[in-house]
Amino acid sequence: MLDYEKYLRYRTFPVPWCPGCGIGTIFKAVVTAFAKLKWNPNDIAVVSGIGCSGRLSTYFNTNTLHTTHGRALTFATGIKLSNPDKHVVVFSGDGDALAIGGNHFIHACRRNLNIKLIVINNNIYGMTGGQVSPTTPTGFVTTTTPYGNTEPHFDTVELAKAAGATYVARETVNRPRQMLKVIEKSFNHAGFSVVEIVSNCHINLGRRNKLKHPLPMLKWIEENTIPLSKAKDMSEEELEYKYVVGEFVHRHRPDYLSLYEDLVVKKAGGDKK
Amino acid sequence: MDIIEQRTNEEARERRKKSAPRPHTVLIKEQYCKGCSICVSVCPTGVLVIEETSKSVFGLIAKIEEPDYCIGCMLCELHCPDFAIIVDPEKRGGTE
Amino acid sequence: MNNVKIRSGNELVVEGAIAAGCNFFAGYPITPSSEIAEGMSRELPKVHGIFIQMEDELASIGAVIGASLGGKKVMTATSGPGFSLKQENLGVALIAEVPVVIVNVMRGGPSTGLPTRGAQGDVMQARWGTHGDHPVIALAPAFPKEVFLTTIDAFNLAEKFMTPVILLLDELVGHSHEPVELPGPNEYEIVNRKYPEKLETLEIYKREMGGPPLRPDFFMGYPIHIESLEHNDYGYPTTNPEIVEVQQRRRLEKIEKHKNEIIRYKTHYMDDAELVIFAFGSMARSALEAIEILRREGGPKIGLFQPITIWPFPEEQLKKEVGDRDVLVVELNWGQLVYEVERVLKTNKIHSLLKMTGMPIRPDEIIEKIKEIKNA
Repeated sequence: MLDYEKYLRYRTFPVPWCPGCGIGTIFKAVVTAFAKLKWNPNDIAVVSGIGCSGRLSTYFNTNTLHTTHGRALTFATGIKLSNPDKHVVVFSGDGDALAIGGNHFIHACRRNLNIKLIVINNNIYGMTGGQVSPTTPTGFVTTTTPYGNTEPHFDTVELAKAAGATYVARETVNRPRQMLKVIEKSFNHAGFSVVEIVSNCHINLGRRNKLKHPLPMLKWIEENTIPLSKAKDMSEEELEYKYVVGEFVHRHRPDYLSLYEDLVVKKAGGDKK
Repeated sequence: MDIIEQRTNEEARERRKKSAPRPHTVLIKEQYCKGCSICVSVCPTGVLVIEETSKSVFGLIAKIEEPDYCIGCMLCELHCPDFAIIVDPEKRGGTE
Repeated sequence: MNNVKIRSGNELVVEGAIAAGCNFFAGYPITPSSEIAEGMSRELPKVHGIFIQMEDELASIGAVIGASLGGKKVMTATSGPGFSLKQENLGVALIAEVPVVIVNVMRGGPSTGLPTRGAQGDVMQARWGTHGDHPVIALAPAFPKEVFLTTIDAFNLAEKFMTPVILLLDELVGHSHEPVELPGPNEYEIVNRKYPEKLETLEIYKREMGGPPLRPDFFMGYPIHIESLEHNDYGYPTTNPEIVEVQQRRRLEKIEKHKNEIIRYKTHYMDDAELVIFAFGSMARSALEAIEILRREGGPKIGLFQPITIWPFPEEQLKKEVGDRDVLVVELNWGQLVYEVERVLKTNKIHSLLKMTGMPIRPDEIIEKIKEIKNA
C-alpha cells in the first residue's frame, strides 16, 4: 500500500465531511507527514475535540481519543505525561481551541509539553449549523449574527506567541505543499507547537456570505493570503482581515517533563525508583 | 465570472501545448469521490472532468478524461479531501 | 503503640493512594481538599510518579482520564464547586469506561457556599451530577483507618470495573487530625486492571451483559479508539438504536449485577437496638457517640447502620439489617439520602434529623431527637 495508508482506519471510511471541505486535505497532509517521518502508528496518539475538526480522530489508524468540547489539550496532557516518548497530536477547531478551550490553549503553550496542536480554523462553528466563532471575520452573516458579525476576531498566532508557544505557524488548505512542510516541522519540533490551518466551510459559513461552493471560497481564502515575507513590509490596515502565512516562532526552551525529572524527581529522591 | 462548479478545466486545456512525454497513471476510488471538483480546478493540464452519476451521494463524480496529459504533479492527490485520487499507485506500493 | 501517627482525613487519602499504587495526580487548589493536592505533590515524586497542578478543574479531570488511558493509576481531588465543573468530563470516563478516582471533600453549598465548613450536600450530585443514564460508585468513609482503606478500595473498584469511583469525604473527616495506626500491606489487597492477552479483533468493548470491558490501554500495540459519543463495540460513533441499547444497558448492568461485591457497610450495636440510625461520614461518628452515651446512661438502646458505599445504594443490606424497626436518618444537609431510605424501607417509620448550617450535628442534638421520637 501507499506509504500513508497504514495511518488510515479504512473500516470507518468514507470520511464524513462536506464535498470540498478542507479538513480532508489537512488529514492527508498529516498522514503524509507521519509517513515521511516514519512514525510507528502504535506510537502515535491523536486527540480531538468536538466539531467537524473533532471527527478527525475516528479516521486515524493510531491510538485515538475523541473528547469533550475544548478539552482535547487536557486529555493530551495526561496522555503525554504518562507516556513521554510517544507522539501526541491534537486537532481542534477554531471554536474548540479559542472559545471554550481558550484557557487550556494558553496554558498548554505556557507549559511547553511536546504536544503538536493543529488548529483547523474555518472561521465558524460548522458542525452545529454555522454560528459565529471567535475567528469569524467582521461583517459576515452567521446563524447567530443574522445582521452581520460586529465582534473583532482573534489572531491565533498572536495568542500562541504571547502564551509562550515555541513553534507557531499558519498555512491554508490552498497551499498543500507548504502546509505539509510546516506540519512536518512542527512534528519534529521538541516543545509545544501550534499550527493554524485556514480551511473553507462553504456549506455553513460560505453559503450565507455568497461563497457557497468550495471553489469560490477557496479562491476567497487565496485572495486574502499574504506570505510573511511580504507582510513584514505592510501596514496594519493593509493586513486587517488578511491571512498571513508562514512560520512565526521557532525557538527552544525546556519542557515541563524534562524540568520535572531534573528538578523535582531528583530532589525527592524518586529517580532511583 | 465567478467559478461556481467546474465540470472541466477549460483554462488548462486551452493553455496546454502537447501531451505528457511519459504520462503518469491516475486512479480514482469512486466509492470515496464526492465530486467536489477541486481536483479538476487544480489540474494544470486538464486531465480530469466532473460527470453526473447516479452512484455518488451528491450525484457528481470525478473522471479521468485525458490520461495522456498527466504530468504527475500530484496536485490532485495533495488537495483531494476524500483520499479518492492517487497518482502512480503501482510505483508507490499499490493501494489495497 | 509506636506505629500510631497523627493524621487528617486528607493526609490519609494521600497515604492510601500511594499505598494503592497511584502514580498520577492532576488537581487544582480548592478548600477543603487542597491538602490532598499538596500531599500528592510531595509524595508522588518520591515514588517517581507524576504530579501536575492544572489550570482549572476541567483540565484536572481531563488530564487524569488521559493518563489513565496511558496506563497510569490516577486520582484527582476537589470540593463542591470543582465537582460541579468536572461533571462533563466525568461523563467521558463513564461512557468510555476508564478507571479514575475522584475525591470530593464536601463543603457547604450551593455555589461558593461555605468553603471552610463541612456538609453532606453532594450525595445526590455524586449519583446524578453528570447528564444521561449512568451508574456510579461512590464511597464515604468515616473513621481514620477507614479513610485509608476505603481509598485503596476506591482504586481497586475503579480498576476492577473500569469506571470512575467517587470518594466522598466531608470537610470534618478531611480536616480532623486524629491518632491512627496505619494498616500494613498485609491488611489490604491491591487490584490492577486486567488486559486481554491477545486481541483478535479491535472490538474492545465486546463482552457479555454485566461484565466490565477487557481492553488494552493506549500504546499497547493496538490502534484503539476511545470515544465520548455513543459508540459500537469498536468504539466508533454510532446512532443505531439496537447498538445504543446494548451499550447503554451493558454499562448499567456492569454495576447492577455486581452490586453485592461493591456494597460495603458497617453496623454498630444493632442486635438489641429498638431504633436504627442511618448515618454516614462524619455523621456516623456523631451518631456513634450519641448511641454510646445513651447506653452508658441506661437510656434507650439504639443501633447504627453506617453505609460506606453510598452508590449503588445498599438496598438489600439495609432491609435485612433494619427489619421492621424505626429508622432515624441523620444527614448534614436538608434531605438527600433520606429519600432513598424512604424508598427502600416502604413500611418502616422513617424519622430524620436534617441540618446544614456549617456546624456539625452534635451527639447531644441526636440524643435530643431520639428522646423526642420516644416521647411522641
